[in-house]
Amino acid sequence: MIEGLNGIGKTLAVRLLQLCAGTMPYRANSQAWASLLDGLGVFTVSVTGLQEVKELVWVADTRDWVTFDDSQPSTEWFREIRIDGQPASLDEVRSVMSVHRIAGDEGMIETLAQLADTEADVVRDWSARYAAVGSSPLWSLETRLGDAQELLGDVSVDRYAELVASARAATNEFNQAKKTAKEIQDLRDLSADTLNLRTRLIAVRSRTPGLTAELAEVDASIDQVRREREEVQQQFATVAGRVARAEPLKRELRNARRTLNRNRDKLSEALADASAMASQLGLSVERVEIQSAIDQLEERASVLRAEQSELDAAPAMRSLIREVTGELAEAEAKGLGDQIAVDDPETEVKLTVTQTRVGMVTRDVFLEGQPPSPQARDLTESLAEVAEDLTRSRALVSAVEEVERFQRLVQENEERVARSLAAGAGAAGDELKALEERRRAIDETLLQLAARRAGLAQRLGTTGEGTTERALAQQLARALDRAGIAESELDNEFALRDEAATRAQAELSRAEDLAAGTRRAVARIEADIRRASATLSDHEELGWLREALDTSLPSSSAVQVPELLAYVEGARSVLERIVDRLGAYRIQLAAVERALREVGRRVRGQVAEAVEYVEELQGWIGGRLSDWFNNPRVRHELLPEAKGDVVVDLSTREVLWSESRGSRSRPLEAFSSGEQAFAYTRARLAVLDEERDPATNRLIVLDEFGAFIAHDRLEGLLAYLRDRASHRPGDQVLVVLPLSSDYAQMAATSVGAEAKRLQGLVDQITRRGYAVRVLMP
Amino acid sequence: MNHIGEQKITGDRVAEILRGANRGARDPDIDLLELLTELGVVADSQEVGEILKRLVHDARQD
Repeated sequence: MIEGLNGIGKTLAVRLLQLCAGTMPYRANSQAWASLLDGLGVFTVSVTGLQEVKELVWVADTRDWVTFDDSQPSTEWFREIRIDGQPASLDEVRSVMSVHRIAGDEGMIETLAQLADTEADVVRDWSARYAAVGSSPLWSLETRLGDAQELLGDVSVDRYAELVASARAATNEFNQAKKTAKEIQDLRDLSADTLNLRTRLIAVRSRTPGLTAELAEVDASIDQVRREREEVQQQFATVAGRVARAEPLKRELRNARRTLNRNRDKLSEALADASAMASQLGLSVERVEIQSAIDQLEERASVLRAEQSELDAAPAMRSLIREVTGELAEAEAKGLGDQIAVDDPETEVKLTVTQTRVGMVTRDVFLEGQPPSPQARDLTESLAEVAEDLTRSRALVSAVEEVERFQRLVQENEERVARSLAAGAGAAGDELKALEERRRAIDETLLQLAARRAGLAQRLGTTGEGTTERALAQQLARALDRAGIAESELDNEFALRDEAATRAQAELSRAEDLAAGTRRAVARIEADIRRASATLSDHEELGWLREALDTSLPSSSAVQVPELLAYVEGARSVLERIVDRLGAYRIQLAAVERALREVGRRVRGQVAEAVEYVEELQGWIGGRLSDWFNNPRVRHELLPEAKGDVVVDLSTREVLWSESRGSRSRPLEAFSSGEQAFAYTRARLAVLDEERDPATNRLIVLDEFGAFIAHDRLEGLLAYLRDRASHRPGDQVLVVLPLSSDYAQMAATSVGAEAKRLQGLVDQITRRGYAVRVLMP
Repeated sequence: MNHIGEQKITGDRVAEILRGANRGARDPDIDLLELLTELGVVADSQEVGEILKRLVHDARQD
């Protein structure tokens, strides 16, 4: 037994011995523990007086222990452990010696509460070591799983299905918009054609009367000039018959004039054709003017084509696509179909030569079905008109060349006739020459009139001046009927339909962009799926996953995306389940720790909070305490009259049992006071006696038993210990008490051996602050 | 061996606590505690791979 002054470190010494014997007497984050780590430093503990061994020695530095997060001491905590001079482990020490501290001021309530707190500390420490975020076995698993998930990407069946459905819906919407746009465009075109008919009719009505009169005037002039020519021809024939001197000359003149007339007729026809063509184009039959017009038309066509490309890229794109797909097909024929042709670093989309060609053909078909915008259609029509004018202008050039050719032939024929006349005309030669000159002038006039008539006829229209207006009026009436428009509403209706067509085109463009965007999204996710599948198949970091899944990967490039996705999704699903399990486990540990602390609070009677696992753990700890009460030695000390099972209900903080007189209950607090406190101590000692595989040597320290002195129960306790010692040779029991007696005064009033004994105690207290009494030598 | 043995003892004690909190169906997850204890004892890359394979096996059984 030790009696000591307060604050000399009695309890600290006991707890240090507990640490050396391999048990943790402190709460991990308690102030007392922190004070020990920081305040003690290097220490050496030596224990002798043991059974089977002579000496145990420990050397350690408490400042080293800061780095350990174990909930129990381990061999590594000590710089040196020796048993009889030989290096030893803490496990070996545990088998040689154990230290048990029973606090007298600690009732059943606090013992139970501390039990829950200690278990909470164990869970917390284990969690910190095995499940901490950043560095722990759990974290290393989570890191590997996270890496695997990252390698596989975030493709999922749901996401893929969602994108495919979006693409399908967008395509349907686009097709509907295309159909609607075409219907609206047709209505607009119908009204535009009707408007055009009316414009032409108005133009015909405005110009026909003047042109017809002018044509009649030209026809009359032609008749007049032809009659004059006939007269001249007859006069020429008469004179020529009279003056002819030789048959060969007459024949030559006749032939020359016949050839001249034939070529002049052809010249007349060619000039009429050219004039009609020129009139249609608003040109004269002049080479320079025609060429200038051609130049202007070519420049206009170039400008229109550029505008067309800006407004409607489809024709240019289709031309480009047809050119490129031809070359891609050739590459496929050379065995390059599986080679990567497109590699977009932004979207990470890779396409083979075959995929690129198929995609281009698909695009070509799509563009083919694309209606151009109203503006683009107008441009196309303008371009067609310019092209037609160009064709006509170039034809006019050919016609002018024909005119010039016949002009040259007529000139040559005229010269031939002149030569014939000069050779054989004689005295009548001057008369014949005069007649011929006149005939030539008449012919020239006829040529001019014929050309003028052709131009007028062209301006009056190809259907003929008499039927054009009526025919156009009939066409307009039919067109208005088809379009369902009154003529008075034509302008307004066209404006409305044109506007509607523009809006429909804008909607079509939006729908097309949406459809294209969703198709791109599908292409991207399909590329991701193929990449994820290849990664799952080949990546060295995923070997464990392949082995664990134990299913073969689709390897052929012909495998469809859904099949690949199913494989990747299977792996991803497994990874997610594991990650969820690991994450849930960390949460479970934290919840169990919280619940244990809550059990401690409830046992102490503090305000209860609803915490997960509390009911289960309260029952579990209550069950352990029930087991303790049902220990025969404990029942003998605390509940000698109990029959059957003793039950501890932590929810009511009561002990329940049966006696012959009926059911009984007692609050837990009752076991910490009065006679029950003594019984409770005896019960705790009894439980130590029940320990399985106890150490060879046990030091049992009864600390803080001052209250026993106050209640005069110390002698009873010492008597119990003496009695117990005879049955426990391996146990050494130390009772630690506060110094409560004035031994100096007692020594002064005593005599003999008693005075000497008491003085010895006084000397010990003076020298080291405590005195030791050996109760059992 | 001693340190490993002490870890095992602590793991057994935590497992006992978790059994006390048992609500069934891996709640709390005592199987995982045992795997982590094993991993904490032999924490090399190969062992992590083996543990992961066992986790995959468990996940596919669920």
